Amino acid sequence: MRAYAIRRLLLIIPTLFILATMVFFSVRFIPGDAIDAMESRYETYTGLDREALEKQLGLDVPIFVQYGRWWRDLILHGTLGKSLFGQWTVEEKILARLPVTIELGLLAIIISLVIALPVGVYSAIRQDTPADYVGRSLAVVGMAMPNFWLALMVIIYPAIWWGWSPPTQVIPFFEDPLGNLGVFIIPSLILGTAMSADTMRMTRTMMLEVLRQDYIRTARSKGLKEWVVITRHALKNSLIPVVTMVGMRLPILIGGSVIIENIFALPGLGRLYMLALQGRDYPVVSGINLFFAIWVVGFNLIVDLIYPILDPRVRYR
Amino acid sequence: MSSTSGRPLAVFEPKRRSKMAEFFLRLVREKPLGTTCGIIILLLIIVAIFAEAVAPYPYRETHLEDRLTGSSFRFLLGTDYAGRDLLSRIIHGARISLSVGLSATAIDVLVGLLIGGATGFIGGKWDLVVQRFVDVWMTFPGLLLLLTIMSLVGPGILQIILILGISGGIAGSRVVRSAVIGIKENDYFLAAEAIGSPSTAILMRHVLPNIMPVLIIIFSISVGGVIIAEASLSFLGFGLPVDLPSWGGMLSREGRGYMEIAPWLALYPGLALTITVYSLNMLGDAMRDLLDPRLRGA
Amino acid sequence: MPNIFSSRWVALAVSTAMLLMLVAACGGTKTIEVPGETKTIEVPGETVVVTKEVIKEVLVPGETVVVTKEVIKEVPGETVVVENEVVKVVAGPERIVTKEVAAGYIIDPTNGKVYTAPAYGGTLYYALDRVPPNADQSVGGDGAGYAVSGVVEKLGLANWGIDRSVNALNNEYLAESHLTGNLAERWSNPDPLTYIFHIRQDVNWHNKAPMNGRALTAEDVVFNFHRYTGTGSGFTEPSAKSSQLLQLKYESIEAVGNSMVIKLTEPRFDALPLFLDDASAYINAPEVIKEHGNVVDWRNLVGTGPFQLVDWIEGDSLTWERNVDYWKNDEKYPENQLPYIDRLKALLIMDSATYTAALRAGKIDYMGHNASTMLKTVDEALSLMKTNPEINSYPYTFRANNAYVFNTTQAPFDQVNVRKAMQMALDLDTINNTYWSGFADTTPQTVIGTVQKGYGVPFEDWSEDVKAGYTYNPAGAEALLDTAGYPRGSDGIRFTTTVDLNAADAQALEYAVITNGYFAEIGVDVKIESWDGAVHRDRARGQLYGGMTPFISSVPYPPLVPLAWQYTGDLQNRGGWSDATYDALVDEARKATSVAELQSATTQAAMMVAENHWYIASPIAPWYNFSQPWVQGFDGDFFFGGWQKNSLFARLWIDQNLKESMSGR
Repeated sequence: MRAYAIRRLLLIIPTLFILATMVFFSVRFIPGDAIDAMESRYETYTGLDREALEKQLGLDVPIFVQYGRWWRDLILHGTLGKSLFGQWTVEEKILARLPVTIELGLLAIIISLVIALPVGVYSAIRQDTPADYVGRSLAVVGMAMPNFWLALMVIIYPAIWWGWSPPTQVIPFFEDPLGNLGVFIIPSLILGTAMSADTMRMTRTMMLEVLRQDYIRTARSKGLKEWVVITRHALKNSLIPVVTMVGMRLPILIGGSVIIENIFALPGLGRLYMLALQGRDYPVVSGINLFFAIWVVGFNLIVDLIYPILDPRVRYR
Repeated sequence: MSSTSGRPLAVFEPKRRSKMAEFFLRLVREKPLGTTCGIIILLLIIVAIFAEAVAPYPYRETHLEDRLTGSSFRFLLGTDYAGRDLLSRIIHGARISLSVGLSATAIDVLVGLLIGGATGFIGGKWDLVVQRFVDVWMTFPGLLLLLTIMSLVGPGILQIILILGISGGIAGSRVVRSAVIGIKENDYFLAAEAIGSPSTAILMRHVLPNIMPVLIIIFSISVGGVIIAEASLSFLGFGLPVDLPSWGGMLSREGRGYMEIAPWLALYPGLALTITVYSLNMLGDAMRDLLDPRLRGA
Repeated sequence: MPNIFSSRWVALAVSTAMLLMLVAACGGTKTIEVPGETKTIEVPGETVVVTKEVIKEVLVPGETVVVTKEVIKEVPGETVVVENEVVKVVAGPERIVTKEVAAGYIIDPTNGKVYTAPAYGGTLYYALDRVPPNADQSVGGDGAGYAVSGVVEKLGLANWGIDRSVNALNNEYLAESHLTGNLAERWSNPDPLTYIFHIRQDVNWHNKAPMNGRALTAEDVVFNFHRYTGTGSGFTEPSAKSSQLLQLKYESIEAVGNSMVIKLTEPRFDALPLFLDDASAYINAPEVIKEHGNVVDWRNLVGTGPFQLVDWIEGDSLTWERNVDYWKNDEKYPENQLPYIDRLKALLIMDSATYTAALRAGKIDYMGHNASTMLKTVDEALSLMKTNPEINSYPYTFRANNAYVFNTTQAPFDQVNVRKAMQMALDLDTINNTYWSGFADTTPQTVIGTVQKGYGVPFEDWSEDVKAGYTYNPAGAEALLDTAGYPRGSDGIRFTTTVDLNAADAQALEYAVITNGYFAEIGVDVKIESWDGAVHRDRARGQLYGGMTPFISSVPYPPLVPLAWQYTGDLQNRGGWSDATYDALVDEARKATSVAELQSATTQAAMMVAENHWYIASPIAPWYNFSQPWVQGFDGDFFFGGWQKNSLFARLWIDQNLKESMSGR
C-alpha cells in the first residue's frame, strides 16, 4: 500500500509535466492571439501596434523561448509569470479569486450532499413509494433544468417584479459573514441542486444493492433495529462509489463554474479562465491549468487511497 | 416431481413469453413513472425521426411581420425575433438534441468501458500508466480543448459529439474502473479464477453482468448530461453551430435575450430540455431497478 | 408725456412683477389671477416652481402689461405639473425676458433642461463589461482608456458647454470647432508648419508619488509628445506605431517657456484635432515613465485629471476618487469646481442580464456607451423603458453596425453584380419597421457617415444608377444572379456561402438570421458561422472567411480613418480589396492641403466604395444609454473625444434626496 502511494506520488511529476506542456502549446496553437483578442474586445479601428505590444507582452520571441522562460520563472523564481493584462502576476490573480471559487464550490457540494444523501437513502429504503418519486424527481429536475436558465430567471424576473437583484459585489467573509453568505447562497443553491442528482442516484443504487446483501439479511434477522442496520452496515459499504463520485466533483472547488460566476458576477477562477482563454492570456491559462492539475491529481490520489479504507477487500498490488 | 399421493403432477409450463415482453410487463406494472417517461421518450424519438413531416414550417423560415408573437393558431408556440416558428424549431431541436445525446453517449460508454474496464481488470503497471493519462486528460480543460478544435476546424456537430463523448468517457472510466476493481475482489470472482476459468470467460460471465447496472446508470445519466452539457456550451458560445435549432442553443440565445419580452422563447426550449432529460433519467432508473440482478426485489 | 425711461416707471413694473412672483411662489392651492385672461387651475399638494419667465415690459406708448409665464417641472415624489400661461402682449419697443429659477434647481444653458442644483458628494456606480487591459493606452491600446480616462488628460476635450443643438455629443462626431482646450489653454498656428500650445499654468499633478502635486509644465507635455512621436527625450521610436499622430511628419517638438511648439516638415491643415484629442495622446507623468518605462501598472498611474484611480480589484471593480485640487470648473456652471461626486466606481459585470437587473434594482446609476454597457437592440430598450419608466433612457445613433463586408478575393463575391444582387435582396425598410420598430435610419450612406457634412455623400446626391443598386428589388437581384452565372439549381439554390460572426455579438446574430431569410428568397443559402472573438478577427484580417462578415460603416470618425479601411493591405481591410484607383484617391486625401481638396478626394473615394458594393449598406440603428433619475446633469450626451470616457462622470452629480427616497440607499 505504501509502495503504491509512493509510486503514485512519483508519477505525478511526469503527469504534470506532460499536461503543462500540452496546454502551453495548444493554447498558442489557436488562431488569433492576444492582440487580436484586444482588437476584437476594444473595437480598435485604427489598429494596434502589434510590434510594440508583442514586445511588451513577451510574445516577440519564438515559442520555445517562451516555453523555456515559463519553466525558468516557475522553477527558479517560483512564479507562474505575469498576466498579459494588467500588471498582476498569475499567482496574484489566482489567489485573489481562489476564495470565491472555493466558497462557491464548497457550499455547492455541501448543498448537493444535503439533498442527495437523505433523498438517496430514503429512496432506497422506501423504494417506489410516492415519497421516493417526489424526492428523486426533485433531485433530477434540479439537474435537468440547465443551471443557466434557472440562474437567468433568478436574475431577470425579481428585478422586474420587485426591483431586487442579487448582490453585485462580493463581501469578504470576515467583514460580514451574513452578507458574504447572502452573496453566495443563491449561486450555490443552483449549482448544488444540479450536482445532487448524480450523487443521489448513486447513493440510492448502492443502498439498494447493499440492502439486498446477505449480511444485511443476517443483521436484520439478528433483530437489529432498521436504522442500526442502515447506518452501521449498509451506509458504509454503499458509500464507496459515492466517494468516487464526490471525488469527481471536487475539481469544482478549483475550477468553479464559468456560467454561474458570469451570471452572478462572482470573480472566480472559472470566469478568469474563460476570460484568459478568450483574451489569449497565455500565462494565466497555463498557470490556472497547472494549479488545477495539481489539485485534481491530488484529489484523485486521496480518493484512491481512501478507497481501501472503506472497502477492505480492495488491495493495491 | 411427484406429489405425495404418488401420481406425477402434470408439469405446468407457463406460456412462453419472450424476455422482452416480460420485461415490459414488469415495467408497466411496477414502475408507472418509468413507463410514462418511456412513452415520452418514445414520442420524442418519433417526432425526431419525422421532424420534417411533423413541423408546420421549415425551421429557418422567417416571418418578420409576425415576429415576437405569442401562441396563436398560425404559430402554436409563438415566434422569435425573426418570426421563426418556435414549435417547428423545437421539433427539429428534438432530432438534434437526441442524436447528439445518443451518439455522444455511445462513444462515452464505449470509451469508458474500454479504458475503465480494461485498466480495472488488468490492473498493475498498465493501470497506473493509463490512469495517469486519464488524470492528464481530466485536468486538460474541456474549454481549452473545445476552443482549440473549434477554432481550427470550425463549429460543427461532429466536433461536439466527439469531444463530449470522449471527455465523458474518460471521466466515466474512473467509475467503471472502481466498479470493476470492486468486482474483481469479489469472492465468486476469486473462486472463478481459482478454478482456472479463462479471463475472457470471467469477463463475459462474471464481470460484464455485474457492471451492467453501472453501465446503465452511466447511460441514462449521460444522454441527459450530454444534452445539458451542450446547452451550457451554447451559453458560453462553444456549442453546436448557431444555425441549428438545438434546444440548448435556443435557450441560451433567443431565450436568454428575450426572457422579459417574449418568455415563451426560453420557456418551451427549457421545458423540452428539462422534460427530456428528466424522462431519460427516470426511465434509466426504472430499467436499472428491473435489470440489475442485485436490485431485484429484496 | 411721461419719460419712458423714467426709473420710477421701471421700478413700478419690476415691483409688480416681483409681487406676482411672490404670490405665485407660495405653496398650497394654486390660483393665479392676472387681470385679463386668466386660467385658474386648482391643484392639491405642493407645487414646485422651477422656472419662471418674467417678461418685463418697459413703458411704451399704449398699454403696458406685465406677464408671467410659469413652467413647472414634474419631480417624482412631488405632485403636479402645471403650466399656466397668461399672456397679453402689446406691441412695444422692448421686451426683456429673464429667467428666474426657484431655489434648488438649475437650468442647463446648453439644452434648456432643468436639473436639481449641483451638489457635491456621493458615489456613482456604473457597470463595465470588459476588463481594461492595463493602464497605458499607448501600449495596451484603446481599452486602457476605461481605466485611465478621467485620471490623465489631454490637451483638448470636447466642449461640454457647447449648445446641444450644434452637437448633442452623442454620436462620436466632433468637428474641430467643437473641441475646446483642456491642458492647453490656447493655441496658435502662426504658419502652416508651426503649432504653439500654451499650457495652463494652474494645473498640478495628483498628490501621489513621484509627482507629489507639483505643477504641470510644458516640459511634461513635450516629454509625452516625444514619447508618442519618437522625436526626443530619449525616445527614438514612437511608443505606438498605430497612433494617428504619426500621420504627421515632425521636425521638432520643444518646450518654449510655458508653451509646446510643434514644427512639422509638411503642412497638414487638419492636424490640430490630432494634437488636442488623439486617442492615445494622454499627458502621463514623466517621472513614472522614466522610472518604469511605461504606465502599464495602474499602481504607478499619476495624472492631472478630476479623478485618481485608487483601487482596481482584479475581476471585480475599479474605484476612482475625487481629486479635490482639480484645476477645472464646470463648463456649464463656471463657478463650480469639478468633479461633483466623491467617488466613481465601475463594477465589472460581464452579463447583460445581470447589469440590466442591477440597474433596475438601483444598484448602478449609469448603463451606457462610456462603459460599453449600452443596450443595442430596440426590443431590449423598449422593454426596459416599459418596466422601469422612471429610469431615463437616451437613444442615440452614430454608425451602422451590421454592414457586411464581402470577401472579394474569391467567388462568388468577386463579381460586383453578385454583391449588388445581395444588396438588392434586402428590404431594409421592412427590417427597420419590424426588427427596429421603425427607429433606424435606412437611407443608405457611404462608408463615411452623412453627419460629416461635406465628406459623407447624402443618398439623394447619388446617381440614379447607383441608387437603383441600393433599392429593394428581389426580381432585379435574381436577374443579376442569373446573368452572373449563378442560376437556380434543382433545389432552388444558386450558391451557398457563409457569414462569419463574432460569438460575443448577439445583435449581429439576430440581424444575420433576418437577412438570411431575404437571401434565401433570391436563392442564396447563407450559413452562419459563429467564432470566438480573436479567431473572428484573425479570419477577417486574412480573408479566411467564406463569404461575408459584418463590420461598421457610415462612421463619424475623421475621414482618413474609414478611408484607410479599404486601402490595399491595410490591417482593417477585411474584404481583401485592392484597387489602384481607390488607393490613389486615398493618397490624394492624405496629401490634401485644404478642406476642399480633402472633401473632394474623400467623397470620390467613398462613392467608389458604394458603386463597387464593397459593403452591404446597413441601417443605422439606435443604441440606448440609461441613467437613474437621481443622476443629474446628464442628457444622453457622453462623447468627450477620443477615449475620454470618465470625463463624463466628473460633470454629473447625484440628487441624494431623490436617491434616498427612491432607492432607500
